Amino acid sequence: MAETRQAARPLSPHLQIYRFTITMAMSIIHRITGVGLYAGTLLLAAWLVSVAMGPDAYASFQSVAGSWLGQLILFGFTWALLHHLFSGIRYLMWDNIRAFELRQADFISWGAAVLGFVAAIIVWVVAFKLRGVL
Amino acid sequence: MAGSASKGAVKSATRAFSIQRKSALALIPLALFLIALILALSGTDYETARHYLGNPIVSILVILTILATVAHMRIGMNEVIEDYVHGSFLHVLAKTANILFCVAVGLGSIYAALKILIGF
Repeated sequence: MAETRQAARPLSPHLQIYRFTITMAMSIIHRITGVGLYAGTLLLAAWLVSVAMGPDAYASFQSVAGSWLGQLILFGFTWALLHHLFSGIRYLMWDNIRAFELRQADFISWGAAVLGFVAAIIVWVVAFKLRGVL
Repeated sequence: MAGSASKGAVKSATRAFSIQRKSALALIPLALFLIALILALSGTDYETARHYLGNPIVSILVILTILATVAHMRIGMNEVIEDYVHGSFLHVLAKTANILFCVAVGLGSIYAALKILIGF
């Protein structure tokens, strides 16, 4: 094995060699948001555990979640979840051979990207309205 | 694809594919429910949060969301590990950590949800 590795074998082309396409970008973002949400489940667990533990724990959770860093992370979590959701619907469509033409695939990919972002903004506008901040 | 071991891998890959899609489908409404619930409870006091989460229907939906999420993310992370974590020891270690993380998050969240519901 060692000898074959020393010979300068051609490498398969990696990401940077390809022309940008929205489906490619969305594929990568789908993965990144998925990994982010994976870590974010700790927040969901912490929220439920704090309610289960009592008023003091809940107050601590709220003070951390309510800080500017907490709010930023929560916004990121909201966007990641909604983006992953709309992006994921594309995969379910493609599994069923829908929107398989190039232009359709591009269209639903842009659509999912926009929808995910807009939905995240709407959720946060509603959240601020409910709290009377806006 | 020769040998019995790889046949087993094909079977489990098909199963993972199937669970990934079913949990994804379930998570479309469940994730939206979760966002609505968090939105309704954002910035509320402890009693309100406990009251909502202590509702049996809300509680069951929360638990279903957790179950679907854990099933979905275990397979997703497994795929990521298969693509990026090489070397047999590290590979197995990462996959083991993935399972432990998913079980811990799942059990911890479900325990908390049930504690709020039943109050033990």
